Amino acid sequence: MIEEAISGDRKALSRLMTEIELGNEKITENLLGKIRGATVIGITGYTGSGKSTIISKLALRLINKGKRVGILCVDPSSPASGGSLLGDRIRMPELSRQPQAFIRSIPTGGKRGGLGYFVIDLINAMDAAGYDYIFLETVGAGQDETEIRNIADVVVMVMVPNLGDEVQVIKAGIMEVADIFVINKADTGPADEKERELLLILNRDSTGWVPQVLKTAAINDAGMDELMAAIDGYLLLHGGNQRAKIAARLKQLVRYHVEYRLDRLMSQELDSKVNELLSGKSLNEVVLQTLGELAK
Amino acid sequence: MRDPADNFAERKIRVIIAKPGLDGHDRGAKVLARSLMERGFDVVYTGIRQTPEDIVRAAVEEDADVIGLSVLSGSHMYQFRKVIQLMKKNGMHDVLLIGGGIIPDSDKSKLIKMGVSAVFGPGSSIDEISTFIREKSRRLK
Repeated sequence: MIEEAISGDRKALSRLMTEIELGNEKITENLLGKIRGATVIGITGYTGSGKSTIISKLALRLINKGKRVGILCVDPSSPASGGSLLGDRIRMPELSRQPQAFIRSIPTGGKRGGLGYFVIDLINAMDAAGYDYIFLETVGAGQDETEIRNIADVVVMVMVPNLGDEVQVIKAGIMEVADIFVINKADTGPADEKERELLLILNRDSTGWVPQVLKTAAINDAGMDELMAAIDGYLLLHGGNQRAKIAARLKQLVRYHVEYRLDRLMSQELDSKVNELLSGKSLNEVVLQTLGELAK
Repeated sequence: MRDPADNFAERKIRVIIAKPGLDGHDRGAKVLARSLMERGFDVVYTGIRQTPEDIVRAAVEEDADVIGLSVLSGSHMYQFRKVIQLMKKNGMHDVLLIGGGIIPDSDKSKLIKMGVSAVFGPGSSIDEISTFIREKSRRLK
C-alpha cells in the first residue's frame, strides 16, 4: 500500500491514511524510512478568520510553481458523540480540480492542542507520497493552541480586526508562537489599529527574523502574494537541513504516540484508578502503577 | 459526555454529504450533516454546486465509507448516474451511496436499480438514516 501511495495512486494514499487513523502502527513504522522532508506550513487562528481560504490561495500559487501540495485540515470532534462535522473543504473549491493537490480532513479525536493524535503520521504519509508542501490547518484557535509550533516549519496566525483589545494581544500563549501574523478581512474593520497592537509585542528571534504583520483580504486574493513571499522569506532564513527537519518531526512523533497510549489507557481506567486512591493507595503509587500498565 | 470506553479516538464511519449541480437548497443537507455528527459519525460537508467529479474526488481523498447526495433540482437521474459511473471507475464498490431530496417515487426505484442503496425523501427520520448507514456500511461498523 505504501509503494502504491508513493507511486502517485491517490486512492492508495487515502487508504494508507485511514490505516493510520485506525491505529495501524506497522504503517507508521514503515513510513519512517520513506520521509523526504516536505515543508510543513502551519496555519492557525480564530474560528472563521479565513484559514481555509488563505490555504486555498497559497496552495494555488505553489501549484503554479510546479509544486505538489498536501492539505490537512483539523476540525473538532464532539465531546458528546465522538463524531465531527468537517467543513474545511467547502472553502477550497479552487483546489478540487487540481491534480497536484490532496486535501484530507482530520477530526481531533478529543486530543487537546487542536491537531489530533495522528497528525504527524498523516504528514509523514503525504511527505512519503511526494507532496513538497504540506499545509496544516488547526482547529479554530484562540489563546492556548500552541502545539502547531512543535510540528510546523513556519507558523502563520490568522486574526481579524474588531476582535479584542491590545490586552488580548499581549497575553501569553498562541501570540508567542507565530512567525507571521495575518490580519485577514482587513477591509471590514480597524486593521491598522490591530497592526499597531501587534507591532508592540514582536521581537527579533535568534536568526534576526522579526515576525511580519500583513493585512489581507484572502477572499479577494488581496495580500496573498505578499503572504507567500513572507513565508518563503522565513523558510529561507530558518530552513536548515533536511536531516534536522526530519529529526524535529520524529521527536514529536514519539511524544504523540506516548500521549496517545496514555490517554487511551486513561480513558478506560480512570474510574478504577480513583477507587484505588480512595481506598488508601498513595497518589504516587497509583501513578507509577498506571505508567507500568502502559508497557503491557 | 460519551462513554469513555467507547473506542478511544478511533476512526468513525466517514460520511460525505454533498449537493451536486445547480441547487442551493442546502437546509436538509446541513441538518443531516449536523445530526449525523451528533450520532457519532465523522461527516465531511462539501457544500453546494459540486460536480460529480468534485464529489467523487473528495470521497477518494477522505476515504469515505458513505456518500450522501442531496438533490432538489430535478437533475437527480443525471447526477446519480454520473457519480455511480465515477465510483465504478475508481473501484469504490465498497462505498455506500445514498440519496435524499425531492425525488419522485417513480425515479426512486430506478435509482435503486442503478445502485443507490436507499433514497430518503422528506419525512425520513434521522434515526432511520443513521441506523441504515450503520447496518449497511461495509467498511466500518
